Amino acid sequence: MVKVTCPICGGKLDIPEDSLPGELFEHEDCGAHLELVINEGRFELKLAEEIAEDWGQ
Amino acid sequence: MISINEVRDMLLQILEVYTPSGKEWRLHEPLREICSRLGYENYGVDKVGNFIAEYGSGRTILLAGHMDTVPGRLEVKVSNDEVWGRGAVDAKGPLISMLLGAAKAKDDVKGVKVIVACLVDEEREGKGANYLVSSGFKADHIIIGEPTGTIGVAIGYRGSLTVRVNVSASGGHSSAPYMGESALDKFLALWEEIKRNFSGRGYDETSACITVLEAGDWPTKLPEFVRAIINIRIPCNVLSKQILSKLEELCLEHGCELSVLERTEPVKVSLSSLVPRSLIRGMLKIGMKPKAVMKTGTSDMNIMHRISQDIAAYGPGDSLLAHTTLERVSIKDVLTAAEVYKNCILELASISQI
Repeated sequence: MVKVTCPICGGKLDIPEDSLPGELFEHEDCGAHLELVINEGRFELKLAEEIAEDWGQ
Repeated sequence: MISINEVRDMLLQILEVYTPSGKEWRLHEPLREICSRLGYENYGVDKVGNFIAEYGSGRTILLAGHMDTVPGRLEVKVSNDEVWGRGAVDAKGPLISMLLGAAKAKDDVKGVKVIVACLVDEEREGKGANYLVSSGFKADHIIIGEPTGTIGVAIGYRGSLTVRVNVSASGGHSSAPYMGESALDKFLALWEEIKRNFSGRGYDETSACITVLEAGDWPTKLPEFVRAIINIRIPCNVLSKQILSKLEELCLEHGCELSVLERTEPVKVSLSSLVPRSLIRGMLKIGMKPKAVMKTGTSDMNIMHRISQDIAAYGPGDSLLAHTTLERVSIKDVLTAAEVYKNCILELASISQI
């Protein structure tokens, strides 16, 4: 696991080492939906698209 | 290697069989043929008519779709890349994708059991899914086959509460409605209150609608009876008993009788759970941009959550077309989703090796 800072609240999330750019995470402490970016080999998180609504079943 | 024309033919084959809830047995033989063509060696039908295909042994990955559709035959046809017909999106397209995807994973996967379950009665009372729960069926990871626009991973569904409301009144002559008592007026007053309380317009709110309404029996009589069915959808932070309690209070105030026909709790899982994560990774590995979605409806995921909490829904098709006369699915999307299911199975299997 890699500890990465939440860009919204500054708290830390544990991100699996094998995570891919574009993977989505939810920070339980502040509820932010985040997307992983890999910047020169370093894990960073940015605000992801809001969870979308889908209809029916 | 299955060609795009063979996939088209499989879709046509199962769409041409009309399977409203209760008639799913009509698909058993076509599914046997499809499973044989795809290289499955182990498949059959369980006690309630679910069609199950499986391979391997070890931790269990279950892909669960459904064979039934809502009623109403539609013409089955191919137009450009799309196959039209009742169930194309909800959910025979996802079902074919699942069978294809699991078959593609078969030779590369070790140490897991993969089951594709084609369930009965999803559109009605979830008899197929409920049977798996009550019979003690075990699975470690569950993927529900429903349309999510091919790039969506559904991590939650609203709950559902369906009630019957019966109203009676003494009636009267239609020439002097102000002198009599109309059951329909009583019901409409109740309905105004229900609408006011449950006026949500999104997956995170409670919404209500009348789905069946019968009233009156003569052109010059005030209605002496109303028989109505109301369906309410419940967001993830609310329990069905809270909604029911409010409905009971309103019905008592308005002199209406209430009975419950169906009740299903909402479900929401974490994006970090293995199944949603594996679906997302499965899409990223083929260059797709996945998104997380919450569904306004209710599905077998609400029931199967009792088997494993590591669960999510995914599938090809535009969910807006479900239950409409314009229902159709892109063959390319069915193939893309098959690749995602395959990748998801491989991801989950690799976790099981650790």
